[in-house]
Amino acid sequence: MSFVRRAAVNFSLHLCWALLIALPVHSADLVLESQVGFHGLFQLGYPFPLRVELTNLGAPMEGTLDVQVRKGGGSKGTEFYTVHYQRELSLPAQSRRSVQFTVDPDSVSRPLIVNFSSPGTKVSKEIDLRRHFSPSPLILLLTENSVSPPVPLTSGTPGPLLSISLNDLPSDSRAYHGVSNIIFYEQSLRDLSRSQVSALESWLSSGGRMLVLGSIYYALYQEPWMSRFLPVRVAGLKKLSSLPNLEKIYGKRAAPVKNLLVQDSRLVEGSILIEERGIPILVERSMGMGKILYLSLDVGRPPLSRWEGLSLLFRDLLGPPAERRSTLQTSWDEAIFSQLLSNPSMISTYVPVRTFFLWLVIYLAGLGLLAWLWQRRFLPGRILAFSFLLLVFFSSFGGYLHFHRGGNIPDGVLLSSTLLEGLQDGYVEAQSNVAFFSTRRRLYSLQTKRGWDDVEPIPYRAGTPLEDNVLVIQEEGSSTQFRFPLREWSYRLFRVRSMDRFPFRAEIQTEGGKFFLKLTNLAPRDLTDCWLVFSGQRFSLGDILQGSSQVRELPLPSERSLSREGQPKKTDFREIPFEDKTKEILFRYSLFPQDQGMARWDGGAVLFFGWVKGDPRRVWVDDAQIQAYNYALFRVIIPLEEGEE
Amino acid sequence: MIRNPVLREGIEIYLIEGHGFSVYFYILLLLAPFEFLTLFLPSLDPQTWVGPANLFKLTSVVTLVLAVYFSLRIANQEFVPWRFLPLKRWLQQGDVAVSDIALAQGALLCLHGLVFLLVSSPLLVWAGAIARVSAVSIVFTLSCILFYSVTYGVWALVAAALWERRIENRQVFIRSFFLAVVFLSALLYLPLNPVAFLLAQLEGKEMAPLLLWGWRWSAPLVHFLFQFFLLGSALFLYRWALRRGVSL
Repeated sequence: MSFVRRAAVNFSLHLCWALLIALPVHSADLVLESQVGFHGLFQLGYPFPLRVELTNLGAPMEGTLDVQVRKGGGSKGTEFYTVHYQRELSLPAQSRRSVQFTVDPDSVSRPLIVNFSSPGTKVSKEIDLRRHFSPSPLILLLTENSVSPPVPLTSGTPGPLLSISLNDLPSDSRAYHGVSNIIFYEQSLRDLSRSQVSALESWLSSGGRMLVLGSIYYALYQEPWMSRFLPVRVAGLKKLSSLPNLEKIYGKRAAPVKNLLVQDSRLVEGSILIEERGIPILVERSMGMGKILYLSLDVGRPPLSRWEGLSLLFRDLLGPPAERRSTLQTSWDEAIFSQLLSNPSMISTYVPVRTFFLWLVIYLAGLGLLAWLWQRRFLPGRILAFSFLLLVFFSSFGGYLHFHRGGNIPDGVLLSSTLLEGLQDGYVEAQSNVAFFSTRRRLYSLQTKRGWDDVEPIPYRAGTPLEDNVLVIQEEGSSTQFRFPLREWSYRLFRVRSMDRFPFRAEIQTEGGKFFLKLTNLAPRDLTDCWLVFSGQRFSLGDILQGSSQVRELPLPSERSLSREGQPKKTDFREIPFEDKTKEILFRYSLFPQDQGMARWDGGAVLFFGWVKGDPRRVWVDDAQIQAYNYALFRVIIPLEEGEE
Repeated sequence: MIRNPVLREGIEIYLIEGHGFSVYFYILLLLAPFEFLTLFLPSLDPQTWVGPANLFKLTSVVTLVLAVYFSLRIANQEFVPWRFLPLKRWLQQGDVAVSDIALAQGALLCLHGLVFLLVSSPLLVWAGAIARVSAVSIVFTLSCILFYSVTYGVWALVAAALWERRIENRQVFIRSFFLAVVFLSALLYLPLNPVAFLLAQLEGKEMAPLLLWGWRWSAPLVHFLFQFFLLGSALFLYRWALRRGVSL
């Protein structure tokens, strides 16, 4: 063999060896399994839980677990974009780890891709969602009893019923969006985690329905977590010979129930719907947009388990499926943000006008000085020419370095405007419109408090490069992080929804034929620039400080406020002035869009609104280079009764 | 080269006596306020306006137009025309050859182009830094501006050689030429237009190729072929006009 051939063979062998070493170990040591939804089922069109289980049979490893969802596309009328749900994981040797995500794909026709990647290891799995969806919302049943209570699902009740364990309850409220009812029967909530409780509360306040079915094991209903949800305080058991009030409603065609044990309780919060001899049988407690129903009867045991009236009772208890996603009350698009961007008070935050002017003055003054020196013939021509070159060089490079490093402007501007729509019981639906404007090309990381209901990125304009259409969502302790790249001088818009507490009370009182509106601010923030709109007239109320209240007489509609047909005139919100121009733009075009929903506050209702001073941030960026502006408006619409109108 | 009397005359009039300074002053007078106002005044389409994002593009375009326009005017000897010796006089005196005149006027044109660039370069560089444009793009833009001002300026030299005594003819010609370059080239095939080409390069957009005789010609190639054709034909005409001056 010649020397050249030997060298070639040697080289090829070394190359192959090097390639073999460089190749990732497609590890059989790591097993990736997944479970979609609740026992493999989720409601179509809503977020659902995805549990990924990693079993490491080999050496310890650290890596990233990533669930990739492709969203948007032609059916949504937008560009495609990719959402990555990620979690950094450390897997000890011979260990098993379970991670739960809440994913929200736009379509079931595109598979989910789950990846675990660490140096030298990459495991990937595709999940076909088509086999897992249900067109109707789910009903979850939690019971420790091996014999489930008979839950008769009639055509009027939302379907399918799934029996799950306490561990299967997600800790993220969004995972419950496809669930209409959760039923607890003989279930101890001792092992429920704080995050699970807070997710359940958040789900309830945004329209969820919880049904607690009583049992003879009443001690389970006296546990602290259970008491937190129950509208009653359970004291023990009582024997009732009959249930006439219940039978009057649900048991007309059924045989009467006799001699049964019911839970004895005392009402704490809510209203009693059915009562038998002073014992609450069916109690309802509303919680924001949702409700909790408590039935003191044990439907899992005879004689009630065989009662014919049960199906009618459950039809009412489970109720029709509620619309989980309310329509958005605000407008948020590029046209509105462009207006904000070109607003002088905003321009000054991201345009280096002052420093630019300073550099311009220095340069022109330098040229002027040289021209003067030339005119006076103080300096020879060569020195003047050299000075001119020096001036150009210094100005160009000095200015370049100054402006390239930022020029006293931030890397980005975050603007968040939140509408707190007042609901019942001191709850508000917070709709935050977020805009992130970047002055340089970099990766940004936006954070929201955990418990957000929905984050919707406003799709990019057509023609945006695919690599920029990416959103990475990462849960981190008490916050969720959204990472995305932005080019220089570009922006990204988001809409974030969540439920929150804001105990501001607005009630109408009648006294001596006059109507009064009583406003009580029990929230921990002051309300400034408050206005009342009623019957085509508007009144400035000034500031309502925390802990204070105001009573205002509702004036009768004057002739000026009525149209020719005698109907109240439409209120033009454009006439309401605000000192801050940004507030004015947000108010007119985003929070009170004139083109939609005018009917909601144009008659038959009293509208109150005010700006929240120092509203706690719902969306933020932990970066000193980002300038943040936060605006929040509280709004409540009080519908009038027929007589009041 | 520096001993060339035509070149010395130009330097004396424009730079030593300072008659060229007014031109540089005009450029700064137009460019500086334009750039400053562009930075914060919503312009063009207010729906998509982001001042700093377009600052470099707009400033480059204005600088390009100003540089080409004033190159044409200065090469056409529109400023203090009475101070220049007529070409015929130089040629008849016999101590200056046609090539010396061409070289001197060409060098003067390049010198003006360079000074235009130097005067406006701080403004352009700042605009580039604010708009986060790469240094390569800034250098490319500066080179383009110099190249176009020289390429089109040669046509003013042609006019000056052809109609030396008829200043109105020359003025009409160079203004018509300027408008044709700006508008007609855009109507004919957009990449031929220097403004459109520069904007496309700065935006990173690919321009539509030209399909001619079954061949696909890339837009930058067609653009530069056209520009070199303009420069070449101007130089050829200029040489012919100067020779015609000798024979007359």
